[in-house]
Amino acid sequence: MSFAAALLGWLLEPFQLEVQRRALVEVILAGGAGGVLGCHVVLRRLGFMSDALSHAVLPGVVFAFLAAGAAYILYGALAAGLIGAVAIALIARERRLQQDAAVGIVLTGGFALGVVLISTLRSYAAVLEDFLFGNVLLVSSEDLALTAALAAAVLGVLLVFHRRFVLRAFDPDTADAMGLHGLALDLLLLVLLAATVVVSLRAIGNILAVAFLITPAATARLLTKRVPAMMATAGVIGAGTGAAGLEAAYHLDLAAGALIVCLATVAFGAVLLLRPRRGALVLALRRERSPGAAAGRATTHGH
Amino acid sequence: MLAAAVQLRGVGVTYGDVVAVESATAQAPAGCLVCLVGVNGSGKSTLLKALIGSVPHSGSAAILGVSGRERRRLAAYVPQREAVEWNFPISVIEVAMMGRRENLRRIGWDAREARAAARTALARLQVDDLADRAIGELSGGQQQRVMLARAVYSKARVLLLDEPLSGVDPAGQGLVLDLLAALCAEGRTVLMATHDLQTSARVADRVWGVNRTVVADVGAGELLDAGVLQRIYGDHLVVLPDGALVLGDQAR
Repeated sequence: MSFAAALLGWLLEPFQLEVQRRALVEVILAGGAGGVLGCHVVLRRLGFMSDALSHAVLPGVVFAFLAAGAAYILYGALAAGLIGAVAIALIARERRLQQDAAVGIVLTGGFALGVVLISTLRSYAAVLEDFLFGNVLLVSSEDLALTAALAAAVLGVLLVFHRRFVLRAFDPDTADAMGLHGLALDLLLLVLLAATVVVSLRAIGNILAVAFLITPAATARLLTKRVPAMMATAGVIGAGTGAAGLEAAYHLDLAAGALIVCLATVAFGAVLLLRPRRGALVLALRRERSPGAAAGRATTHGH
Repeated sequence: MLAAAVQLRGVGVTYGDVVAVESATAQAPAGCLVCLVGVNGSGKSTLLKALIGSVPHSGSAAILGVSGRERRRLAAYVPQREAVEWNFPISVIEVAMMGRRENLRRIGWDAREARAAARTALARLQVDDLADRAIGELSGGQQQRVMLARAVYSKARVLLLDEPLSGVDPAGQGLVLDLLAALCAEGRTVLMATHDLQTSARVADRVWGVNRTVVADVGAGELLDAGVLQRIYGDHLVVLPDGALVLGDQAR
């Protein structure tokens, strides 16, 4: 057997199991949708906001689990995410508060409520762990169908509203002057964020869900100069690190969700250091080789 | 009588407890270049925003006789430099294309004709050769010219410009002012908030002095009159021992 065939066999080995195949589709959908939507998170500096939404879904997850059973937790998460999104938007309209206060209140309040609800269970440690860190191998066909529907909805809305979201982010005063509804667009973006957090929940869990929204998009921002290219790159990075993390977790017998986030972080670090022309390491090496030219460039940029 | 191109009647704007503008009344005919002058915080930007309806206001504001939400379709707006996220990953042509409402609703690639029209507008401001560059790579003056090109591309009959000359070098300022004169000659109406009294006195058809309300509505020739300046600038106007008038640090 050739080396290539052996390698292919090794790569495909995990996916002979149906549970692993479902997990693969789940991480690709979650990483891809998170990467694409994450571009708006990074460009509008909504990282903290996304973190709050990912924590705010916890009470919904637990409530659905207690009231209806494990099959319904994603619906509970979706409901809680939407409530969290609306709550942040409404609190942030209060002129005496800044948005970060609204975000902090919803983040901690929602998360605390979730933990309180979990503590009503006798064996709550194991349940809590699955919610917080995800367990992608628990994904059912029904979960997958909901994930696919949510991911398709997120990408569809982004496509239809793309230019309005871009104008709102780039030049909000002109967006207002042209009659775009700023609050409605912001709320729509928050709803999309909540949906994406729900999509990520099974794959990487409540605590790390925000990683799919920030790390692939931040990596893509370093590599691209246009929003559509950034979105495509971020989607590929999100889906790619998701699949690679799942593969590695199988062979190394490690926690898949956390490993996916570690891989995405390593990819970001590598791009930061090594990207063509502007990578930190590349610039340092170039300075080493021709100190005069680097100084000249710095002077030119100074003007 | 023809409706005024722009008209404010008793317009007031408050931000929370702060009164930014109160009882502002003024109007300008079509084809007119109006400069809005006054110190920082005097309400120039707020008046422009009230006129186009992007801030809630009392009183009435009309563009080409239309006073409802629909008036937004009749004017193009260029914001202050500080309100724009210049590091956004977007190209010059994409910025220009945002000038027309119908483009904002489009899904997928731009129509070729719309792109060509946007390029023509960029050419009027001599920035068409930068069309495919990222907006963040341009100088401040070039960026302002792109925003003006977007307003020109919009085909709006009324242009509301907030400090369009800020960051633009003298040669670029000449280009912009020539363009504004040409637009007015085409029958478009331009309202421009500015700090530059000398330029206002030179190029404007009318000058609105703003000090929480429109305190003066004068021809350019009357702008440098001591009484008019006193009304507009109040305590910011300093009389030197030799009788010369100097503005404080907020305005030149």
